[in-house]
Amino acid sequence: MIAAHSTVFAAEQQAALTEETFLVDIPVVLSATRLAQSRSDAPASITVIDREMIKASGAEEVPDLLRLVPGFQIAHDKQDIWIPDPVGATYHGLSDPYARRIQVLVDGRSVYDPAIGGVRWDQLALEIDDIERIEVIRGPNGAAYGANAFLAAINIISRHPADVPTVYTKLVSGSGNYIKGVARYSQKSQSFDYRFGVSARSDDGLEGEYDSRTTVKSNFRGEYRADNGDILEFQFGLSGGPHQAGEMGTETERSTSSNSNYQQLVWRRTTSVDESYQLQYYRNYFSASDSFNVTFPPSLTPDTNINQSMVTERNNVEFQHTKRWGEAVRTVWGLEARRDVSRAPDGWFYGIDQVSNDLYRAFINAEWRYSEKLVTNLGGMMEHNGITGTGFSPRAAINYHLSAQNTVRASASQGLRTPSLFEEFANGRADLYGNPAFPAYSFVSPGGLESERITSYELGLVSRSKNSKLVADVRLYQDYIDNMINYPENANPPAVPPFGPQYTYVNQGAVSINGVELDVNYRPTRSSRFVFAYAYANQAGSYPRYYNPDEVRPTDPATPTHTASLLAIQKLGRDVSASIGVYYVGRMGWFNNLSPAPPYTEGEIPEYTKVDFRLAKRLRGRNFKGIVELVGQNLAGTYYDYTSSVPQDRRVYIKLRIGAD
Amino acid sequence: MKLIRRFRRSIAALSGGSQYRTQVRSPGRIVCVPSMLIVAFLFVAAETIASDTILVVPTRDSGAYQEFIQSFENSLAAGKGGKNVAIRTIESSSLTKASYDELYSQLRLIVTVGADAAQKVLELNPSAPVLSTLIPRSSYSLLTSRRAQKKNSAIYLDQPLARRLDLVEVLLPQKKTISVVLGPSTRNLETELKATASKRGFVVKIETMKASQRLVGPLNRALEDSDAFLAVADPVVSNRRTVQNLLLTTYRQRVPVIGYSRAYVRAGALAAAFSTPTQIGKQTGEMVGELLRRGNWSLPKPQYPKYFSVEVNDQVAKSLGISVPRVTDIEGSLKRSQGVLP
Repeated sequence: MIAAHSTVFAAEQQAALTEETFLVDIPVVLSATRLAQSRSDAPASITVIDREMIKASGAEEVPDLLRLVPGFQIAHDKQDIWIPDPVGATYHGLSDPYARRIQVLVDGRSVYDPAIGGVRWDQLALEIDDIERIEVIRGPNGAAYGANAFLAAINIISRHPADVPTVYTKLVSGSGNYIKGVARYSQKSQSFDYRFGVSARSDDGLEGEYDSRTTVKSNFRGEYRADNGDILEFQFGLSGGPHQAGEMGTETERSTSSNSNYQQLVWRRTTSVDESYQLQYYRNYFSASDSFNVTFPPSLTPDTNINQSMVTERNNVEFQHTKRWGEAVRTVWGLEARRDVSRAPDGWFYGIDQVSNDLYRAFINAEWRYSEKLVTNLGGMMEHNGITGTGFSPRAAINYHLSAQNTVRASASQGLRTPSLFEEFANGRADLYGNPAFPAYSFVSPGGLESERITSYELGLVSRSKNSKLVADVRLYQDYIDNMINYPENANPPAVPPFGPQYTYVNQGAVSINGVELDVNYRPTRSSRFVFAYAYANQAGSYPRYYNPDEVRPTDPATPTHTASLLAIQKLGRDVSASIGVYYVGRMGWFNNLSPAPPYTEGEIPEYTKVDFRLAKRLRGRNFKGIVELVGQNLAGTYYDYTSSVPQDRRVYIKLRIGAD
Repeated sequence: MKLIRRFRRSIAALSGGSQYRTQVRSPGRIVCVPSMLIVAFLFVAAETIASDTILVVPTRDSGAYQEFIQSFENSLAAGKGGKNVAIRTIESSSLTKASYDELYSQLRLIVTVGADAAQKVLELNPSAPVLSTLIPRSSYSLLTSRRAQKKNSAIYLDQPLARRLDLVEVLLPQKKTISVVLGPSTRNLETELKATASKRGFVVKIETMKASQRLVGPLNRALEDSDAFLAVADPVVSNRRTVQNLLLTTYRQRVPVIGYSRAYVRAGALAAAFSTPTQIGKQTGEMVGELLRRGNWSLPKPQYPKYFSVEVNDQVAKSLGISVPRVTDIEGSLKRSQGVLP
C-alpha cells in the first residue's frame, strides 16, 4: 500500500509536462540480448500460432492447435491397459501416441516426459487461455534445445501476468458431458506482477470408451523486477485428478489417477545493452496411481495384479549468457545439468528400485550478420548423459535477404534422440496369479541402447508481400534418420513361463523423409485472415518386423503423404466473429497399430478431414466485458485419428467468458 | 552593479567558453583566475548596450540549454544581416522582478528556454514580447490560457501530430489501427488526434488514464487489435518507471512503439521523430534574425519545430520483422509532406 501511495504521489508531482520528458535519458529496456530473432533471420522454419489463431480455432486442448502446423498429426488414444494419456502429437508421423521425437517447452521448461517419452498433454498445468503464443520449429533443433528436439521443437509461451485482465472466468459446456470452469486473477504493479489461475474439467471421454475424467489445474506465474533491472520470475503449477481406464465391459475397467506439479525459477540480469545472463531452475513431478487385478486363464486364484503406478521427477538447472559483439555478432552460450528419475518397481521397471539418467550440456549459438543481406547462424550442443554417453548436435544456416521481402535460407543440422528411461531400462512384468514363478514380460530392454540420429538439410524461403498482408514460408527438406529405437514384437513368445517378452527395445531402423512444406498467413482486409498450412512428405525406410527373426518391414505407412489445414477468420461487424478450421490428414498408421504381417498396412487409419466452426459475440456491459461462443467440432462427420475403433464424433460446445480480453 | 553581478553569475554558469563571450559585442573585460573564483571574477560589462538587446532566459545551465543557446547564437550570427544585437543570458532561477525591471527598458525580446523559464518570465508580464522555446505545447497552452498572448509566441519542442502520424505511415504502411494512451497533460489532444488520424485513414484507439491509475489497464485495452502504439509525452503515461513496462508489454504483443525522443528509441521504441535543442535553437535564431532584418518585433504565431531528426531502432525493427527505409529517406519524406523541403 505504501508503495502504491508513493507512486501516485510521485505521479501527481510530475504531472506538469516539461522539456525534461523529451530530453531525459531512459535506460535501455529492449536490449539487443532481449530481442528475439526475426523469422527471416532465424536458422529454421518457424510456425507461429498466435492468440488470434488460438481463439479462432475454438480449441480447448493444446494439441488440437498443432493441427495448424504443417506436417503435424494428432492421435486420440484408445483407453485400454496403458497408463491413460489420451493425446499424442507428432510431426511426420513415425510415432506411437507417445510422440518421442518432439521436444516441448513451456516458458523454457521442458515438459518432455523422461520416463516414457513424449508429452503428457493432459497433465500440462496450463489452460489454453494462458497461452500467448506457440512457436513450432520444424526440423531438428538439437543445437538450441538438445537431444529430443529431433523432428521438431514446440515452444509454448504463456501469457505474461501484466498482459491478462485482472479477473477472468470461463465456463464451457458441451457434448459428452464436457464441463469446464476456468478462473484467473492477476495483479500488476510497478515491480511485481502475478497471475493465479484454477480450472476444473470433467467429461465422459470418447464414445463407447471407459474413459471419463476429472482434471483440476492450478498455476501461478509471478515476475518481480528489481530496481537494478534484474528480473526474477517464478512459476508453479499443479494438475491432475481421477480418470477411468480399461476396456469397457471387461475386468480391466478401473479407476486411476495422475498428478503433476512443477516449480520454476528464472533469474535474468542485464548488465549492459549488449549483455545479459540467465539462471534457471525447474522441477517437474509426475505420479500415476494405477493398480488393478485381472484373471488369466486358467482362472487360478489369486488374481494377477498389474501395477502401472509410476513416479517421475526431473530436476534441471541452466545458465545462459547472451552477448552482442558489435553490430554483427550475437552469441548465446550456456551450461545445463539435469537429473531424471523414475520409480515404478512393481510394473514398468519391475524389481528395480529406481532408474535415473544424469545429463550435462554445453551449448553455443552464434548469429553473424555478415552484411545487410547475409546472416549466418552457427550452433552446437555437446551433451553427456548416463545412457548413451557423449553426443554432439551441430547446425549451420545461411540466410540471404534477396530483398526486404524475400529471404532464402539453407541449413544443415544433426540431432540426437536419447532413449527414454523406459526404452533403456524397461522391465515390464506382472506375476501371473501373484506368483513370481510365472512372470509375464511385456516390454523389455536389453539396455545399452544408443541415440537415434538425424541429419537434415533444408532450403527455405520466407516471403512477405510489400504491404505485409501475405507472409509465406516454404521449406524443402531432406531428413535422414538412423539407429532408430523400436520395439519389435516377439514372433514366437514362449508357451511356458517365463512368458514374453512381448516387445523388446532395439536400435534398428532407418528412415529418409523428403518433402515440401508451406505455411501461409494472409490478411486481405482488416477483418479477415487466412492461415494455410500444407505438407508433403515422401517417407521411406525400414524397421524390424519382429524382434526375432531379424526381418524388416517398411516404415512408409507411418507418415501421411499429405497434410493440410486452413483456418479462416472473419469479423462480422464490431462484435461478432466467425471462423472455420479445416484439417486434412492423409492415410497413415501409428507404429503400435500397424500389423507386422504383409502388406504391413493393416491398422492404418483412412484419410480424414476435420471441420471445426466457431461463432463468437462480444458482450459489452457497463462493468464487464465478455464473449459468448458457439463451437462445433468434427462437423464434417466422424473420423478416426488413431485407430478405427475410436471414433471422433461431432461435438458442440458453448463457452462464456467474462473479463475476456 | 547588482545587475552586473547577476549577469556574471549566469554567464559563469553557462561557462560556454569563448564562443559565447564573443557574441557579446559590448566592451568587456575577462579576468582569468583559478577556477574556484571564476564565478566571482568573470566580468562582462552590461552598461553600454550597443543596440537591440535580447534577453535569453534558460531554465537551467545544463547541457541541453547550453546546446540551445549556442545553436541560437550561431544561427543568429549567420542570419541577422549585419545588424547589431546584444544577447544577455540570465538563468531563470536568478530572474527576479527587480533584475528584470533594470533591463526592462532596453529589451526588444525575451527568449525563454524551457518550461520553467517560460513560466517565470510570463508571470512577470514583461512589456517586451516573449518567445518561449524548448517548451512542450501543452505546457505553453497551460501558461498562456489565462490571458491573451498577442505579442508572445512559442516554438514548441514536440512534433506536430501530423508529422508523427506521417512517420507511422512511412514505417508501417498498411498498418491502420494506432493505439494511444493519454494522460492528464495530453487529454486535450484527443480531438486533434482523431481528426489528424482520420485524414490519413488511420483508426485511432484512445484510452485515457488519471494520475492515480496504473498504466497496465489502459495500455492493454489500447493494444487490443492495435498495429502500432503512439507514445505521447505525458509524465503520467510515460516516465522513467512506466517506460520499462510499456516497452516490455508492447514488445510481448509485437506492437511497435512510436516514441517521441531519441532516448525512447534507444530504450526500445521502433522509431521517433524529435527535435534536438540545437535544432530548436537554429529555428529560434532564424526567427529572431528575420525579426531583426525586418526591424519589426511582432512575433509570428506559435509554431512547431521546423528541423527534426528521425531515429530508428534497427534491432527492434529486425526483431519485429519490420523492414524500415533508410533514416534519411524517412526524414526526406516527412519533410516533403510538411512542406519544409521544396
